[in-house]
Amino acid sequence: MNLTAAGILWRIALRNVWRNRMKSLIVGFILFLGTGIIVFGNALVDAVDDGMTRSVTQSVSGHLQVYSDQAKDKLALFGDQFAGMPDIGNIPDFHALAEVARKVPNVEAVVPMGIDFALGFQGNEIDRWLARLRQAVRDGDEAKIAQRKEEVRAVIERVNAELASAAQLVAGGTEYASDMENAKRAASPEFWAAFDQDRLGNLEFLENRIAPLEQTLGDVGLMFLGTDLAAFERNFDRFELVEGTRVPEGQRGFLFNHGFYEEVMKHRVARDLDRIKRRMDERFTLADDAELRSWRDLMVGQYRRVLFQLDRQAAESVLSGLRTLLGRTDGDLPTLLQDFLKVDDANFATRYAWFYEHIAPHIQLYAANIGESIPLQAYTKAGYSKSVNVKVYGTYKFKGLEKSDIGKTFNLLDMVTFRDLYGLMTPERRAEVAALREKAGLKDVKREDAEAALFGGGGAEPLEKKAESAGFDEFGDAGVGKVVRSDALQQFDPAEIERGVALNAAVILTDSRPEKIAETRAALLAAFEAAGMKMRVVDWKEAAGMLGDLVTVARTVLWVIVVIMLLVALVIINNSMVIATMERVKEIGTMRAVGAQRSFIAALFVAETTVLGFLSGGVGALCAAGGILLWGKVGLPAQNAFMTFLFSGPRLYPTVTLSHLLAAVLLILFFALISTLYPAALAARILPRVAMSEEG
Amino acid sequence: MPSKTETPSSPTGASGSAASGAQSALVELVGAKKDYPLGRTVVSALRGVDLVVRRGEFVALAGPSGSGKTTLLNLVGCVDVATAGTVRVDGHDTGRLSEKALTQLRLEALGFIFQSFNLIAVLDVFQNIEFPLLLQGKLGKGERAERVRSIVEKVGLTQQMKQRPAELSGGQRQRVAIARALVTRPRLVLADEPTANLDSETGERIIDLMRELNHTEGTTFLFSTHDPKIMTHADRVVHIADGRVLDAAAGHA
Ligand SMILES: Nc1ncnc2c1ncn2[C@@H]1O[C@H](COP(=O)(O)OP(=O)(O)OP(=O)(O)O)[C@@H](O)[C@H]1O
Ligand SMILES: [Mg+2]
Repeated sequence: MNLTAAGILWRIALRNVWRNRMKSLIVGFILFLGTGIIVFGNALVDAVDDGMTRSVTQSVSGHLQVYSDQAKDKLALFGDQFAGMPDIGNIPDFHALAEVARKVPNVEAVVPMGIDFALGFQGNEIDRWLARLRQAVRDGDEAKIAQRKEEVRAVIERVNAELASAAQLVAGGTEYASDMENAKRAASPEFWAAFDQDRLGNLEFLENRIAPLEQTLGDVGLMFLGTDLAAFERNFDRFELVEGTRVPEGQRGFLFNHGFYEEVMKHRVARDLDRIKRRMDERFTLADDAELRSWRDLMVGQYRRVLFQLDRQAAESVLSGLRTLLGRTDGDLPTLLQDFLKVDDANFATRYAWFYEHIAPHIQLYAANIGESIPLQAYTKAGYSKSVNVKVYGTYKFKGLEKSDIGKTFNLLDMVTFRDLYGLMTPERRAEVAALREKAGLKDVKREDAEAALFGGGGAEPLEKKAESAGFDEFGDAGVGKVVRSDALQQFDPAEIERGVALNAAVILTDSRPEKIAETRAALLAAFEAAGMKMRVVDWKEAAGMLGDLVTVARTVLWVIVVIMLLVALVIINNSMVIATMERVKEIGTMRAVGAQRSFIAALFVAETTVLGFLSGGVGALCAAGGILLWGKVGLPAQNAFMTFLFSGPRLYPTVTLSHLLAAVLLILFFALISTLYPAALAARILPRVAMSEEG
Repeated sequence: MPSKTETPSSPTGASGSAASGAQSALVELVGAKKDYPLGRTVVSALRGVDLVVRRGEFVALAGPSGSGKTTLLNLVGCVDVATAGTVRVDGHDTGRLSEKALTQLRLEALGFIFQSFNLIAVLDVFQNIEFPLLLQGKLGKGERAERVRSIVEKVGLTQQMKQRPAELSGGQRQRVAIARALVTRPRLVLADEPTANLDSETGERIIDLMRELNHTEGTTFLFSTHDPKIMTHADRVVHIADGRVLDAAAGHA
């Protein structure tokens, strides 16, 4: 085809697009939508990819993760939905590994890690009351003793009642028989009449036989990440301390995840109030929202959790306060508490504030208080359970991920305590410890004593002592200065963090562009290989387990949708073009008769589609780009916790690049041309003699 | 589209019955047959036509409906090929030409005027007329414009140059079609009932115009018609019935 023919071809094509406006509109709209969806979808998936990458790399994974090649399972930082915590083996000598890794270019930091699961004891209310009674007995304060005795009796009566109903449920259950007996005895007037004759003996009976019967507070499962806390904070930008203090270097310590602390460790009624408040802040009302009402009713049913935590004085002050607040002159505390918790839209704000002002100070608001120790119990690799008391220094959060479940997954624990709980010591390490003990003249410290000292009441001791306190210096760099005194037990040589086992290691890179990450990964593998270490090095997507596949899945879903849509569009475009061809048979025949070659006719159709594709694709891409720009300003709000994680914050701010737009337009154009192939071929085969015929 | 026929190879140049006028023959049909398959049967539209059209002739083709006028024009116009026999146009045996070559022959040597005008709706008068020149791609822009303008003048549409076909009357449209057919200076213009869609007065004026161009440009015309009045303008009328040329002297002037 010559140039002048090409010129008229484009002119005709353009004008035909205009002439067949209806057809052009339908096809154009499909192409417009297609381009829009491709641009939007890609921008969204890219933004999520970017968000997730930031969420995960800046909070837990780092840019690369290293773990043993002997691992049975793949590393899955957030656990595997189906298989629980994976068995990833361990890095026996973290220090050696870190030394190798730090020499690799672009490696900024290597942080030891280990993830494990423990049970945290939430404590037991009877125990708490008994502790108060014991304290009163110890102080010899008779008035207090009498009061505490009454309180304990009240709690025991409640347990008795619960037990009775439980026994009814499992009628004839023999295992309850002795429990029932004990409970009955503890509730009997005779027991209390005789209580003072053997206060300590009776306390022991209550502590050993009665307290375990109480079941209102269960144990709580905790996921924790053992790490070099200082290095962790330095290298993970998302880390932010919320309450309390940092764990001082060289100290054992625990940091609650703030969200976890608020939502799991907090008093049930307070939690319920918080939850209702959050939803009401989102403009839901009790009057209209059934879910909110069901939360309220559940909360009312929990009033005993408040009631039983109030000692007599507190109960009196709360009762009189409630009477004033509710404007009532009668009614006992249980009734008024329930009435108080039956909040409505009008009084919620007042009562919420009243709760925190007048009730919260009298109850245990958190199952574990900052500054106190909590017992953690975990199953070691060897299969036996091991407990450690560790001081809670504070709470932390991952910035921007406060609302996301995954941002709330991990509590943080120092590496040394982690190793104790995980129960992993290599034979070399064990020998080393023995040798050091010997060197330090500690042969006389029996293992049992050491264990008792380690995991006993040590945590209750004041812990603010500095590393130079007695018992530490003499071990110096030896790295195991933890076996002598309880205060020293909470301390260790910071260097010890490195010298020992880790399960995996996070590698933070200076340059984190994707190609650089791949390059450094290869370099790390080579370095480990050269050092004789068999390691796996994975990027965050692999390290995150199922979560890491999410973006790939999302992208696949997007493209499947796009392809399906394009196929449907292909049929529509093809049909409408075939119809258009039929309507233009005469004109095409005329062009052929006048001397246009078949190729000219085919090219004309291709040109028409190209014009249409460019126009509608271009407009579609521009509209989508405009939408994304606008959207990027406002942000797409995350609807739930998981979305918060995906978005790496409460809102997603998608961006669009020129290459995105070009790619979408070209793809649509390509696809439109494919849709035109058949109609174009059909048109090219129209016989020139139809120009002569009078039909049609 | 079949481009080759089973026509037995004939020596180049004219031969056989039409030998006498061979030198000046622009179109020469020898025993041309055309069959159309129709379901299981075959319709014989042309049953062996011998016809010669010489350069400069203004020939009318007359015959009842279904007699084969359009079929004959199709064969001569190279938009179709004969089932048997020979069709020679401007020295080319059309049965031996490829589809592409036939198209090229139409573009270079022939012009078409259709009963229903067949203009390209999206192009204006000027562009419709320019269209075959653009396909040829031989002339520069200036020459093209000159050529179009002079032919537009001849058909009397200078005022309507920028109008689209839809804005023109039937007679005006046919003038555009005539201009389009003549703009490439073809040797032969074929017209299938060019006046059938026009009132008789306009029809006569169109034929007058064609006649005039036949004289001034020396273009050969072959057109079909039902209208006896129109036939009177022709140099010669070829009568056709039932796929055969009636006039024994069809081959001669
Ligand atoms: N494509 C075709 N397929 C089948 N039969 C055809 C075809 N074209 C023409 N015919 C038949 O061939 C015969 C000749 O038709 P043709 O159109 O050449 O006649 P015509 O003289 O032009 O008639 P009219 O004056 O009605 O235009 C007719 O019987 C017609 O039905
Ligand atoms: Mg006809």
